[in-house]
Amino acid sequence: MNTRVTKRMFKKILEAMQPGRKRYIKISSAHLSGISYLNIGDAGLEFLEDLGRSGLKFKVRTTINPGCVDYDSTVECDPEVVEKQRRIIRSLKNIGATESLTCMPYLFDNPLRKNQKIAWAESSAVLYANSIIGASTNKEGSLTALASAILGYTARTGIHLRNGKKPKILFQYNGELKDEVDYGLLGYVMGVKAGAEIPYLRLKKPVGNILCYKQLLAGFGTSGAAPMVWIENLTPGFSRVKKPVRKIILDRTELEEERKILSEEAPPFHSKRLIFVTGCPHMSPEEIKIFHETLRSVDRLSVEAWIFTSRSAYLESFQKGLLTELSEKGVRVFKDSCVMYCSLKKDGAHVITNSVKAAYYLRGSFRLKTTLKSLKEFVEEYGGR
Amino acid sequence: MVVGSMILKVKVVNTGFAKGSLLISQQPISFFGGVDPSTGVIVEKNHPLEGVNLCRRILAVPSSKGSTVGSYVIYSLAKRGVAPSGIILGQEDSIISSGAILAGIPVVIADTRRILSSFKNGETIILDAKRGRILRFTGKA
Repeated sequence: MNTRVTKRMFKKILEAMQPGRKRYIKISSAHLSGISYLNIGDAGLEFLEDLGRSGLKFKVRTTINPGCVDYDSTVECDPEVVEKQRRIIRSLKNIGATESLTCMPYLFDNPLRKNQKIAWAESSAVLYANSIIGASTNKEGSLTALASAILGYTARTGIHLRNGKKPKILFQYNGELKDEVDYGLLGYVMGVKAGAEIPYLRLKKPVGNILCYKQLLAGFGTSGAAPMVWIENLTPGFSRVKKPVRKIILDRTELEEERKILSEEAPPFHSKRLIFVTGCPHMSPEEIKIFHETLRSVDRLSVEAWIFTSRSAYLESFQKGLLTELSEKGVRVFKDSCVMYCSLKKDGAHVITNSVKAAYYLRGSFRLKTTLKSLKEFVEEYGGR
Repeated sequence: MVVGSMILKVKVVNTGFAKGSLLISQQPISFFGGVDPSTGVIVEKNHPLEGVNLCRRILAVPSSKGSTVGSYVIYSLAKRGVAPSGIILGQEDSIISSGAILAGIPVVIADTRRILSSFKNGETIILDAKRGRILRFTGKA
């Protein structure tokens, strides 16, 4: 790859986002998806290695999504996958990426300010950046985010236009939301109905903590195409934004219909390998603490529990003394990787998860059977004393 | 010099020039998982073009479907010399467009129905993505 030709190619990728126009906006941060070897395969590895050798460097702070391997516990992983995942990460580091390996870069590795213009891929992080922090990014694809990271600007379309954040549809949910799974399902249903339009959400009885809203936004990003949700009483500037006239009232039945598609009864734990996976999106130290507290009265779990988090959050939680106790109770903590974990693919286990997004992709891509349960429900059912 | 009769004006996504046999897919194609990256053969089960090779064809396809990683597969096909030599899209499609840009494959956007009514599957056409037109190949002058 020749540097000049490659740069021109990336410019064209940004041009293709806005046919017939050539308007750009400077960005100060990028986040890349398409990191996992299971996802991009040999084709992606080849491209990133070629790019790594071209000598081009990222112009802005650039973080990367998780891969599919935790390098501190590779025993169950196919050695070829481990090696190829390592090569992908090495190439990206050569171009100047921070080895964040997380889908929650906003927390430690790529912190944001309100109104910051950025080019992020990874839908759950995009939704969080726009809806919770008040930054501005479109839902970039792996390649458009890569192009923006190299060039330092992105196409001035979508959310970057004047009125690009204006909500077009108001969702009102009157029912009760009992846990993070309900929030995830609500997000998923909203995404289906909103399509590419930015919604404004009004909840009659908001009770959720940040874990719940993270699940809501990840669910929304899984089924919808819009880059943000205005959440009443939460999104910065929500009181000043003009409320949409078009209104859709949602209720419990819609959530339950979606639950039926993504969740089935779990088999008894002695008849099949059951694994509880949580941390999609990655768990923050605060969420790890919540899980830790939920497990307080439990000596040992009767099924495996895997949690996924970032390196930075792992370190912080470790220093707070949360991880030792978790591991004594049978909880495995993974970093650098996500629930689309390499060994999970071949195991054919039945997965229990509190993440609607995880259930969707584990069913679709890994062809696994899934059951949705909140952290609390899981501990109540499998937390034998 | 190559000659042809002017048939269709099209919108250019990635410039370039290609001549080859037209392959019309009425269904979207998933490059990731649906196409063998080492041979260019469509391997998606029950796809109307299952078993057909994209290598050096001019592919007319309404859009892509599935994973955004499809872009990398197009790049990989081109590196092995088994990619389509040109692509005619039915609508804007960032997965195919960005992959083709990486791979240096000319891409245009044209109305799928007009392609179907103007050309036959398998006939030799010229995709002139420099001037935004598709020509029927009529021989060498």
